[in-house]
Amino acid sequence: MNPLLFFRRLWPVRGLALKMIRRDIETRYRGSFLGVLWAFLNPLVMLLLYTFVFGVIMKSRWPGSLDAGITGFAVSLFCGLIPYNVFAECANRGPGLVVAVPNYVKRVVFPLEVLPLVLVGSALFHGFVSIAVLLGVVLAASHFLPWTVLLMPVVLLPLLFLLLGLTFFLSSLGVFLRDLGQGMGLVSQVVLFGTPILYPRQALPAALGALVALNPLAWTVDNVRRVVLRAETPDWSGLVLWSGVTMLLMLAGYAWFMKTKRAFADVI
Amino acid sequence: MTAGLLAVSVHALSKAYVRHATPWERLKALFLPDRYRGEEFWALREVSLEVQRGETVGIVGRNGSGKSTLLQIIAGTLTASSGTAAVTGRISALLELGSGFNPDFTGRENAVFQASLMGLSNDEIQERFSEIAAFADIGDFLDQPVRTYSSGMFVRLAFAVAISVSPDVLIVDEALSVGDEGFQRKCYGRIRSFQERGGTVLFVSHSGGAVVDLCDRAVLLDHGERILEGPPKEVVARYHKLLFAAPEARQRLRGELLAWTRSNPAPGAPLPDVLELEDEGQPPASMTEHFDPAMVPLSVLSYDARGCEIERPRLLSPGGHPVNLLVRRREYVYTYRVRFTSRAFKARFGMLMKTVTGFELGGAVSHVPSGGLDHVEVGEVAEVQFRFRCFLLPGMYFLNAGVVGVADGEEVFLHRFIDVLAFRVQTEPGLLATATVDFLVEPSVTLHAAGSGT
Repeated sequence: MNPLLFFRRLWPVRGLALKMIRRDIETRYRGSFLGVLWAFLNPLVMLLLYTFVFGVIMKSRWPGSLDAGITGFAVSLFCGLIPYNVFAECANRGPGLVVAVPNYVKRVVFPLEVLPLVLVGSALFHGFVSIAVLLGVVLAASHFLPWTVLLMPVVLLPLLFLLLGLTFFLSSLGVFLRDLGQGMGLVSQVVLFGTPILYPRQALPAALGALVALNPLAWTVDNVRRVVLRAETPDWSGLVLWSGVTMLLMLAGYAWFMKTKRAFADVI
Repeated sequence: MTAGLLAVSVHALSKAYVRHATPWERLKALFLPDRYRGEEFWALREVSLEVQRGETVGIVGRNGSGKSTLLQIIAGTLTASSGTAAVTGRISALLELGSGFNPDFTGRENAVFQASLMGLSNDEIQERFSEIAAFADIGDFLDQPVRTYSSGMFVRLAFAVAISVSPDVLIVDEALSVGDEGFQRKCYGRIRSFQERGGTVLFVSHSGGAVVDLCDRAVLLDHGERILEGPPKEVVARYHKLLFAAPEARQRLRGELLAWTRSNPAPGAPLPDVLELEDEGQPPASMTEHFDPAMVPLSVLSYDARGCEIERPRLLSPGGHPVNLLVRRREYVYTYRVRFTSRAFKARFGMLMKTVTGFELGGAVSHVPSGGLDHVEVGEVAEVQFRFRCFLLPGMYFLNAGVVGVADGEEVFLHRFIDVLAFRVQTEPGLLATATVDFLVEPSVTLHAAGSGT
């Protein structure tokens, strides 16, 4: 499928998608006293907790991190958790995405392909909030931010494509295979421990290293750490490769979604 | 009317709902349609319909006749299995009330969202919002989450949005019936002004009256087929006929209408005259009344006669034969004779129908209290008849008979029989009505998806 066609088809619904992303975020905090402030409060408290547990109590050190202070381990961990959380949100909510809105499927004229965009957009919003919190903490701890953090959006590009592709597939498959929601909960746990998030990549046995090299999420985690913690530019060849691969996945996911969409109404 | 002015053009539209054993089978069928066929249910068969711009067409039919499927395909929420449906211009559909509403958001937010779904820009929405708010007229509820709304408020807002997006074609499903009468009138008023401005309306209602009032033309759908099309009043009359006919009569009626429609009658040709066919809601025509001589009430109780005697109480069929096994909804005559053995004044006659438990179901008297037979001489015989329609469900019933007259300035019973006759209303296969009285109930059930907001 032609990538240009993908954008041309989805461009007209961008306004709707943005509006729905806003709604999705608002829904989460609706009725709460602090509102969207929670979006900041959650990652901030988590990061402080990690700092306390790993930096103060366990005195863990993350190999290769420039920041050797008490926040060192926590920010390294956090660099891995941010992309993972965005991934997990899409993986866990994806299967129920279309099933949850029978009205949109059966009663109104609605471009259903907007739904995956909304999920990914809303998950990325929370990811960016966490990144802002992370950068704030790094800045506060070391009074310094490497210029390479400006490359963050580029580093996250393969993740964006990956998540779009994944969500297109999951939200469609979830309609036909209702156990998928359960399964994905398990899968995201496996991914959490199978990706160098809670531990550095170097800690992996060499035999497993090859497996991790095939994991686009591992690439993202590595390179987020590079630009944030080590002031290095991203792995450019990896970026090109993974952008290409994940874009293919995204296009395949979109094509799959559009092909299967007309059967949604029959089974919802 | 020229072809270029078609607002809606539906050609040979069919829709099969395919049921697969599991959703997974449905997915496989997408890729291997020949291997995984599934079970087909045809909701629409070869339906064609043309609506001119500015015309209002009503669609009538029983539940499950395919009305909603047709409208959903025209509105674009369902895809047809074959055939085409084309709409010129913006279409606004009020298919099911507030179906696109998110219960956690306020009415205002939902209205804005719906309007943007229908293709209005933010500026246009701002411009029209006061109009929407004024029409919905739900006051402060506009800024409350819609889950706090009554169904009436729901439909108010949904209709306000649907009509305010300036559609070219407006589709109105039965949703309006939820609102109160004042609001319905307001909606109909608004639909009328929409019509006057040249808007095209597709209107579905259970209420034949609204179709007759609003529409230029009506289409009758039955089992997914368009079996009649013509002037609303005449189509609705035949629809009601079909609705209340007994199963065999319905088949026959349906066949006649369909044959007429298939013969491609010229526009304006008189519709088939089927209205004299059997009356509505009747038990099968094959059922007949009988007389069972063994069925005599054991509880007959006669009051002491005071100058007259009730004789020969009988139930008669319309043909004049004695019966006691009746058929629901048919007409019978309850008759008895009264032979006067002394002079009577202001004589009146009465009847009463009761259940087995003695509950008094209904009865009648021959005259108002002051209006009985002024003066009856000795030896005269009064022939009393009560014609009635048997609106009773299958079961056993008892009849009383009584004569009153004025003696010593006071009205007293001259003679009275309790349980003078017993009769049974015969059971019918597939009868839906329950308990005792036949209220001509027409049951209908609509299933809404879970969480659809109502």
